[in-house]
Amino acid sequence: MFGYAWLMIAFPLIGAAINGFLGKKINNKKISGWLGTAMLAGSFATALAVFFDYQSRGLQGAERFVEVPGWTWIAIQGMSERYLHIDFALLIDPLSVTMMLFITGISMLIHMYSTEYMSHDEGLPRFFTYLNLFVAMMLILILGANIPMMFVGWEGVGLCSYLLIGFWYRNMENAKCGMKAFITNRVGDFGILIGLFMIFQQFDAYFRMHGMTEASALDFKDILLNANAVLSVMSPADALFIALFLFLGACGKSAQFPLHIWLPDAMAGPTPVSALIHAATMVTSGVYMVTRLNPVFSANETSGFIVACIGAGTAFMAATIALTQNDIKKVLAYSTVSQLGYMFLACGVGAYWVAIFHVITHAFFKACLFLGSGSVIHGMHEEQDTRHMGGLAKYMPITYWTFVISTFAIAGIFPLAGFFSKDEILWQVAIWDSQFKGAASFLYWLALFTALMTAFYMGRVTWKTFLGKPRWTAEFKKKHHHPHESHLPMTIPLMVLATMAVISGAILFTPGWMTGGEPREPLAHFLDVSAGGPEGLMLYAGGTGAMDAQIHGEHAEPAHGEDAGHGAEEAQGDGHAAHHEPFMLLGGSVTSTEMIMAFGSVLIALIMLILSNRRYTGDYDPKKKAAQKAFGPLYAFSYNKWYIDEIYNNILVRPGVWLSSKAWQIFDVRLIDGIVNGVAKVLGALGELIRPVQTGFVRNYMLYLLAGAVMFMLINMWSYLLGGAS
Amino acid sequence: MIDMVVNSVWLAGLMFAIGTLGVMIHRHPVIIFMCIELMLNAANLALVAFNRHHFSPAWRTMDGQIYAFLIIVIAAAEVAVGLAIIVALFKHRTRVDIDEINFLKR
Amino acid sequence: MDGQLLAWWVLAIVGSLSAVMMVLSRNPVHSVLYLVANFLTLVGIYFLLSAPMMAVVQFVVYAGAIMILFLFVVMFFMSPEARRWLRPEIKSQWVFGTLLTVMMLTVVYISLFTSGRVNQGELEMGRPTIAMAGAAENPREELGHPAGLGVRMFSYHALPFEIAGLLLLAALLGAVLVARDERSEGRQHLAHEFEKAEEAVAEEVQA
Repeated sequence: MFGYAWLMIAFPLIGAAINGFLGKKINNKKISGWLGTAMLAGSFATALAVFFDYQSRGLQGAERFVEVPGWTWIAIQGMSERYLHIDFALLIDPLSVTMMLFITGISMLIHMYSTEYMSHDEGLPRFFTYLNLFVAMMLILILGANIPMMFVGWEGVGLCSYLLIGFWYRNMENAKCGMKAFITNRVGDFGILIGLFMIFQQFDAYFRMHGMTEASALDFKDILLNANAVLSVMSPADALFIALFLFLGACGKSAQFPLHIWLPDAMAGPTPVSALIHAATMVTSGVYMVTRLNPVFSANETSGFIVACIGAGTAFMAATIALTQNDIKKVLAYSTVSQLGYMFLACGVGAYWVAIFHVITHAFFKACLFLGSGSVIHGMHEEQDTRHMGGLAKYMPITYWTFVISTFAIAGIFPLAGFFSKDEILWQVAIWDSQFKGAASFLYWLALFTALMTAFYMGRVTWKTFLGKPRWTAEFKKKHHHPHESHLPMTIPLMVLATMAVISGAILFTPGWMTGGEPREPLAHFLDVSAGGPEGLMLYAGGTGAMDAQIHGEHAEPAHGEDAGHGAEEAQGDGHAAHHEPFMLLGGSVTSTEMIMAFGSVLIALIMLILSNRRYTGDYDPKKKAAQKAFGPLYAFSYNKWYIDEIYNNILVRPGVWLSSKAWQIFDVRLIDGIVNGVAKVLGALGELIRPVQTGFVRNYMLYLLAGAVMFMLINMWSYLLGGAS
Repeated sequence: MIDMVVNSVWLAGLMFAIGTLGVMIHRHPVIIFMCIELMLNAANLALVAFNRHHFSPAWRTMDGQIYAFLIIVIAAAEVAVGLAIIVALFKHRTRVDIDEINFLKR
Repeated sequence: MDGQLLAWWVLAIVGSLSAVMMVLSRNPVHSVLYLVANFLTLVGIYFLLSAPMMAVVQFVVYAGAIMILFLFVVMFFMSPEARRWLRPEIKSQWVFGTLLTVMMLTVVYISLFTSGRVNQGELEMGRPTIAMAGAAENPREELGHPAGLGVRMFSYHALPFEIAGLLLLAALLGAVLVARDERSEGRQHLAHEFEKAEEAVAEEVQA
């Protein structure tokens, strides 16, 4: 079943191999670029086929986790009767199906865009090699059926992001940014490794104790289906530490505080790379991992609360930083960090499917924004500073309109995609039922305030770039006169992504107040078993799924949105009814409260967009430095990114450099070099001792040969004579 | 009759030793080569003698002589290549001294 | 002592002496001739050891063809100064070489002697004689009969035979390749080109 899913990974790998090994020989940028794109198109087609196949099979309960066998990867016979047996296998389940659809789709568009964007670059085959490899690694990450496979993809995307960020490696700054990303990710990888080890230890011990020889503690399916049983016997501290270590890994990959510093610097790479990293791959892997192992995070309310706090805090912090940045890509980068914070906020409050929902919508509008900024940079001939832009709307209409649509989407304007996902996150935070209810209301207001700032800074960057008076540099005007609109291979992805940014939200989810009854949640029901939905919770608790689903009849058929939704509401249970109390507005009905909250946030966003429009069009002139004067230290605090880089530099980097230089002087120079050189000297002296033997005269060697032969003859004769004598 | 066969083996040993001595004391490559031929012939003589020794009405093997033939063939091939090398050496230098061909040492 | 044994002794003494002389001779041409003499005595010994085919091959191939090759090489490449490299050899090499050779010979002879003693009884119980070797009803089965040798060679030893043939071919090619002087060929070619160019110039001048 689904054996052809391997094609999805094979396509980009083949593309990477062809471009990597033969790229120089082909020596044709068009062929290299479109080959890479075609491979991704094949991958996307495979993903679509898997999706429709999966839907048409109508699998139930635990059957919805389909393992596609590959080959045996690691097989170790332990001391006991149990083998450590790891297959190279794929797991086709709702989560991986969802992820692979948008990953392959958006990656395809970005590849297509890159054929034009990178067309002047000498290293284009290399670029497409890395790009294809990146997507392949991301697919391994999300499709892997077990922890080691996920880890392969996890490290693979880390490597590829390093290669791509440092793509223009001749510039030292870019290479440094690549290293920064790599090293920051190492810190996160340390966390995820510890977390995964602990999971293995706990689950393996449980399976061993209960004689479950078939189950593997590394297999996602076995972990999920036995999650509650194992977690219930685990000590709470263990569960908390597993969750926190795993979350540290997610922080590294998904750029959450305190490991967010690499993502804004990832701007050093070519713009399509930024789009790929920020939208489709890499940063989503943290959210994916948390969702994949969601029972571990749900097991303990404290861990969920910490995740939510970090998420909301990061969202707030990144938004404040984004307010004052001038580089168009920097603003977008911090907005990504901020939006990722929203996703983790959703994860923290247990609404995993909402996190994935926001991942999807965010992927569309953020990819569109980044590709749009790439188009602007391309049109402005490598100008990135918004202070030197302005008035581009006239020259780049397609870029302008798609950028505006995506800005509205990210700001959460009804009825664009961002509105649905962001408002659902806010709603889920509001109704979160836990011991941290009071703090959660604070998180809600923080997130709302962040939404306000999001609308403002996105409006700022948009209007500053496209409207107002042209503030182009004299040099630019002299050389190019005015910017130009990009060609079709760049604008088509923009238009497709903008369309998706409009419609994807409404398709995947419609809240209750719009339908006039129960919410329509196809995505939630599709993701149910993988993302901790009601049926999923039953499976994790040890139910057999299909049987339980029959008992709970109505949500057995995920395609039936309304009925299933009803079931879901009930199954989420009493909590839901009890916990909208703190936010009960206007007569106390859930629907009206939700509606008013939604309208409120849309209103705030609109006001902010209009405000920013007023501020940054017309006679706006950055040289006046109005904001800087008005806000003083606050502005500086935000502009310098909360001084986090400086703090790290002083607290971690400098002592590290000092320590390693000392270590180098003591251990490397004295100890290791001493040993190595000493061994070499001893051997050299020995060689000098024996060297005279090698006279270089053939006859002399013959003499040695004969001496050896005679010696052997003597030895033989000696034993022969002894034998003969006795 | 037996004496002749056994004596032949003694003779082969003597010839082999003389050949070895020649290889070791001479410096001219052609003469060294001839000494090697002498050693090969000594081995051939031993083979023929042993064949003679072991031949019986019951076991009529002639393999010793066949080995000797094969050795002659290989010796011929070796002489061809070896002399060609010596000729090539002679072409490059007027004096050919085996002790001067020590490039590996230098 | 019958005639055959007497002949053997004569041949053996002459052969040994010629071998010693070959080593001691200062003149390479003499060395070659001494070696030819040694090989001719071997021909006789092979006859006595009832290996007529072997004797003929030794005569034709070794004493004839191979040694002529040696003689050619020695005579072609001996310059007048060639004698000078025949100065006395290094002393230590002499001493150690002789010492080791004598040791080897001693060891071989001791082992020959002892093994002969061990097998003496066996030998006396009717080991083959020349009369017995020639006593087969079918002459092909006599020791050293060319027909028998041929049958054995092309059936049981066919593979080594073929490989030896391949080896000869390879040696032929290798010898040609090694002995060929590429530089002189190139020089000749160049000279030829110069000649042609001069002719062309001359023709033009004439025209």
